[in-house]
Amino acid sequence: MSDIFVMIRNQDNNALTSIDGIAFVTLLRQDGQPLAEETFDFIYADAGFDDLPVGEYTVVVKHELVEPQQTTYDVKIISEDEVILLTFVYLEPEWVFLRIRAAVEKRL
Amino acid sequence: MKIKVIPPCSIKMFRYRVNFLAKDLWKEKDPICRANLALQLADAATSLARLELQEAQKLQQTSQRMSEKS
Repeated sequence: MSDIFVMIRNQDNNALTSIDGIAFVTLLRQDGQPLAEETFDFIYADAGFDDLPVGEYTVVVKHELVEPQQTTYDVKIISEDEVILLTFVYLEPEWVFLRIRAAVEKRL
Repeated sequence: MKIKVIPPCSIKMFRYRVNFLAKDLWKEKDPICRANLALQLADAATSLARLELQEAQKLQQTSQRMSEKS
């Protein structure tokens, strides 16, 4: 089984915990169906999904005040015991999505 | 399929935070960003240390109970 660990960062690689006091929300989807939803932590700006079977997933990050309001990233879990690390980076002063950094590590 | 989110205050989340914050810190070149990452890492590592200690004490108590029974 694998995990997905998602973080929100600003352009300076600092945790972006909220915009205008509103936290970011992440959704996990498979074949268009929602599997789980989680609000990002208010201190560390991260969220995680646990014990995922091998397969294809879509990670969605949402915030009503950023442009675009919803960003998606397709993830393929090909082997067990891995963690997929996704960092969604935003330009904080402009409230604009910049890019996604993705990496794969061995699960703890 | 039932998918669980990892609780934000769980030991697992703190292990992930410490691991990935340390990796980010190692790669970061900007001194201000390094300082911010190091502060966040120190904070997460302190919480992790407390949770690891609790976990170790729980394991120790369980093994003591087992040896008392046998």
